[in-house]
Amino acid sequence: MRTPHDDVRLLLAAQPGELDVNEERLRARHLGRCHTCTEEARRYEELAHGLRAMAQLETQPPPTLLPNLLATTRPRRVGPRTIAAGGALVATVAVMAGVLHHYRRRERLDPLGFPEVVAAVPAHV
Amino acid sequence: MEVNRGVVEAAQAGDAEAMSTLVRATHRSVYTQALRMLGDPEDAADATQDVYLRVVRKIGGFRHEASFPTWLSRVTVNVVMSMLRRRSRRLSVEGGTMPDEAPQPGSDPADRAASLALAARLDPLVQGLPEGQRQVLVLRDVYGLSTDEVAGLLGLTSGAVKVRLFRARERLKRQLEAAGPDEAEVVPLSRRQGGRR
Repeated sequence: MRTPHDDVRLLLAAQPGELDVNEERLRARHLGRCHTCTEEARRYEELAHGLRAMAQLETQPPPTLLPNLLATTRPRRVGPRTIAAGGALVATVAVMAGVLHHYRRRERLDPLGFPEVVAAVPAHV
Repeated sequence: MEVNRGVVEAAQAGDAEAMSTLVRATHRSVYTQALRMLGDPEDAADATQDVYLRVVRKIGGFRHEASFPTWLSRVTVNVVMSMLRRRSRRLSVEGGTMPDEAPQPGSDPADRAASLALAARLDPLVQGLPEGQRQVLVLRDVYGLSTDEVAGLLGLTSGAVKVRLFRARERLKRQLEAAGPDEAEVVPLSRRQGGRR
């Protein structure tokens, strides 16, 4: 058989803002006359304080983590080898672009690709 | 986690030393948050690496509207959610917002000390929760996201989030009651070694 305590049991663990107006009213009315449930609600409140305080406690991470993080977040320096590699890449791309441009231009001038035939017909005919 | 604004600005300007200082000051907190959400130390270390890769790429866009730790926590949530999404295709992500500042326990030093002692007892219990309950509880109760934000991040309905929250809170409360008041010395998590617990 259900008791009035069962009706509010679920509401006792709620934190401010989690209940609607009716639930809030039911909870307050019951707590006003029930010492057991008031004590229960107080324990939940204590628990809530302890859980919030957990945000301030820190766990010691594995010893390898910090060195890895420092390496990850260190800005990468651009050395002479990187600059040389970048220059070589730019030069390669430029040469390839030039070659491509040359062939495209030839294609535009001679779209069918016929070999150049000059003076195929004798001039005296 | 204390982070000086000048250090953040120097890191934004490309100062490598400032970036190293930021990493040293914040990596434990990022690792801890990832570990709480993922539940696996190796995954948490991978997530932490990803977080700082994103930080390097995006720190220039950080506008100081929230504090740096809050921004970093948001980046961590996004990275972890991406990992969870890869782990389980049904999860959907990105775009959740964090509160400007994570809610703090009471300002009274005695309350604060009691909350921290309780937090140290709770941490291993939270790690022992079923994955679905743990993710919801960590995002909502530890890092202060709203129920709707958690629902959006995990691809759940608000109702499902509330049910998981209730089960997780009830379970933790029962475990605390069963353990009784803590008589043992409370060892801060910062003095513990990482590892599967």
